[in-house]
Amino acid sequence: MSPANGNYEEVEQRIRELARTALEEGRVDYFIGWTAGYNESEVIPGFVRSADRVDALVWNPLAAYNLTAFLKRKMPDPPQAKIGLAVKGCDSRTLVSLLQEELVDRERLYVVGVPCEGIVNRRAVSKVFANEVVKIEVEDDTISVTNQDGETKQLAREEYLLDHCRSCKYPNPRYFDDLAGEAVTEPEDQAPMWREIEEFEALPEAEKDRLMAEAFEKCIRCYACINACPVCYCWDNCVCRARQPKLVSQKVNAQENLMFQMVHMFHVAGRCPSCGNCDRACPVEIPLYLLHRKMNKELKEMLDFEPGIDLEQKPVFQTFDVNDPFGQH
Amino acid sequence: MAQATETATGTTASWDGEGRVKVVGILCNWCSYAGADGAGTARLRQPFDFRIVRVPCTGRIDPLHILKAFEKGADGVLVSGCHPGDCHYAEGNYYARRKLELLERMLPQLGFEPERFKYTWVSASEAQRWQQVVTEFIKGVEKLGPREGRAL
Amino acid sequence: MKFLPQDQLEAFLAHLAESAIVVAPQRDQDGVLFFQPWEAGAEVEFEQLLTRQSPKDYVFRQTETYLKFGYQMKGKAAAEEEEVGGKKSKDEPAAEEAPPAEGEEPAHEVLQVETVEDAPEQVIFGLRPCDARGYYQMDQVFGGYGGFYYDPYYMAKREATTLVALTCAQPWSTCFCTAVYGSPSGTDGVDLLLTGIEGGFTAEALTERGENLLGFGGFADVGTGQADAAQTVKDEAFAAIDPPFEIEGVPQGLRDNFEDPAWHDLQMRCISCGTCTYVCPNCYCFNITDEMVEKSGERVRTWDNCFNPGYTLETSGHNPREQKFARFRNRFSHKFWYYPEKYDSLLCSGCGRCIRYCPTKIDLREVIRTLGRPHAAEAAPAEDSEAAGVHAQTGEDL
Repeated sequence: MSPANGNYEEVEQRIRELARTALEEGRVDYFIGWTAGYNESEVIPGFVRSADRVDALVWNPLAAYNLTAFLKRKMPDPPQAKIGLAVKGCDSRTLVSLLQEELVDRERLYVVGVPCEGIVNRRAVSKVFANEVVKIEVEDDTISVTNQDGETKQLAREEYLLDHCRSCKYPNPRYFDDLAGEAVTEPEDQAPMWREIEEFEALPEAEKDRLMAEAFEKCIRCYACINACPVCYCWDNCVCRARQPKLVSQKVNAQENLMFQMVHMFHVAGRCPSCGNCDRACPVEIPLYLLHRKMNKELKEMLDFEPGIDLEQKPVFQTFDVNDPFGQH
Repeated sequence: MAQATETATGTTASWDGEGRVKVVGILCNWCSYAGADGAGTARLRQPFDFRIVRVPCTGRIDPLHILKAFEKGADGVLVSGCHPGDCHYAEGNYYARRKLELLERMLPQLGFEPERFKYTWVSASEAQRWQQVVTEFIKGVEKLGPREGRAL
Repeated sequence: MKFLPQDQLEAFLAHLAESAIVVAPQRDQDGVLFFQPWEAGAEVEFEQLLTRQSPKDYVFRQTETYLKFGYQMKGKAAAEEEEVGGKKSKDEPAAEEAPPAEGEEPAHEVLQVETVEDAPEQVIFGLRPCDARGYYQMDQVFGGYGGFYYDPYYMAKREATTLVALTCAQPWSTCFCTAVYGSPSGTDGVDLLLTGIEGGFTAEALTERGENLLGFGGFADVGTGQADAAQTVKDEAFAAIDPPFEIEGVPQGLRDNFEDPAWHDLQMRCISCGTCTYVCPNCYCFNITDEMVEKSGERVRTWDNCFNPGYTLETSGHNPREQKFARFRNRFSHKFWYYPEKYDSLLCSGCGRCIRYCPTKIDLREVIRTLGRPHAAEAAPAEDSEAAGVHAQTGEDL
């Protein structure tokens, strides 16, 4: 990932302008962007309905939430709303996945692309103090974290980016109507990095099993991961939440929780570009990236396929090739 | 009908107390199931620790069926269908192949030994091959023993 | 009031662990703070204010097995059945239909039921007054009004539980206990209240259970000024929380604003998961299912939440709260309107976990500020709600 060149303010202004114009011209009913949260360490999704409110929109390296999640089936309110939204590189890939499968109506969308230079791993940053973190600021290559006592710590930006940002190949949106600001330089090295995944793969089976059990022991089955997932769209009809038929047990224990998570993983296979929204939504910090990034690594090896890159591509599990290089015998 | 199908109807007595493993086979109706049937008719010796689920086509199989089998206590799962190009429904096994390959690659991530899952192709006329496939697979699973106290 | 020196803390935990399971906040492998059973030598963390989840799971279990059941063959042919594992071949019906011999019971299936009792003596150590207040408020649902409502599973655990709470010295920006009749040193439901001061903790017993705990030899009498120091900690913490809304009139406000379009705006970023309810110390909704495999199974109670699509689904297929906004409205209305109407308290103790751990940080304070204002009060200029100052977003839309 390239070092930040710090044009966040410019991009922020551009997002506001584009949102304002779209709202004024009536092209959208509302615009979804990012806005300030309960304190200066949080940036949250924000819905703007009128042009005079667009100044509430912000753009900075804390804008983690993938807003495409608000487009998935049954999520838009009202269902026929014309929606404007801002997407980062990875967010746009989930949008492309949805468009490939015709799960959202392109005609009712206005997409503002936001070139992204990496998002701060807020979770890791907030752990540098035991008490409350009230402010996170990013300037050039430094992250300043302030706690409720007013103490500040400086952290290296590179080390506290989300793991998938550090190995991001597509910082610029793959699909948009207008781009807010200049496209950032895409990394030279186009080989994706799977360092964390390879480290995990190298462990003995029994150890992997133990770590999975440990991770999923604490799952509380709140279903934040699937509801925050932009490409997991069964919504109220999810098999895991269904009472009838009861295919996934209501019991909460490591085994059932992992089974539930596998339902999620396999249902989004080929659509999920590892945007990490599930990972960040998890209130108990289960390392879900170990599953979805592993899946993408395998898809890349199996079919040389990366989800959400090309609008014209057919979803990989809805098609086949007689010459697929596996399972010949 | 041969031994394999007898066990498929659910006699539990032979599993217990002998340190044997539980293996589930998910077989396509048109090729592998007929192949297994043929092996029985031909009185080919086959492992007994095997329960068959017959499906119309491997294309019907969701990777979650296999995970569910593991979750409910299977020690190994063997999937078998028509050879690529031979599908009764022309292309079902091509779709299956992608899903099953992904599952096979994902299982080690969950702590499964690779020997516990296999997908393969056996035609209706390949009774001999069926015997070989199922014997080898179950030997592999038996070597590892039952899965107990696992994450999934 | 007694004093527990810092160096006696571990000894006190060990003392408690002799006769009960001690549950205390500890970090897990990812550095996340949870209430976990304590074992000697384990590091207890009191510096971080709140655990990720409230400790309600230890009394109101997320998965609680009520009973186990199964069918078994009895009488003639039972032995035979055993032999072939419960499966009768169609070729031999004659054997089954043969009349039983003299004095022998005919073959029949018997339902066997085994109840599960699991209520160990436990001490929940180092929970915050808001967590304790969660129990206090749930108690009314599961055992309130002199047992008029009585849930034996919850109550058995609750009665075996001692709560040792810790005064919050430094509230977080999401804390609002003082707005919902609570306090950082609140005593509702608490057996023993510890307050961190220099060199240790002051300890106040509030119940007989708490009094018994003071029997531990490590306690000293409070020294000069220690009681005052504790009072200062409490007062400062209380003053540190600026109540974000005025609770009087909120039930009426929610009633008046039931059809208010602002509900639609506020729920926009809700993703209808259940995080807020599962981290909440007060939410108590549950579901009961029979989990069966072939002929045996368990009856289990699991947590449920009002954001679950099946929560209000009726047998007819009708779902009165099919839309997300209705589920969203229910959560707040239940906490601040329906529940207080039925029982004598609110169903919120102001811990602020729902704000902090919500994937999209939906702010309960913002919802109550926006929709908890009775219409009569609307006529007068209402500046009070703005004065809260936590985060000056109004709820209508941005």
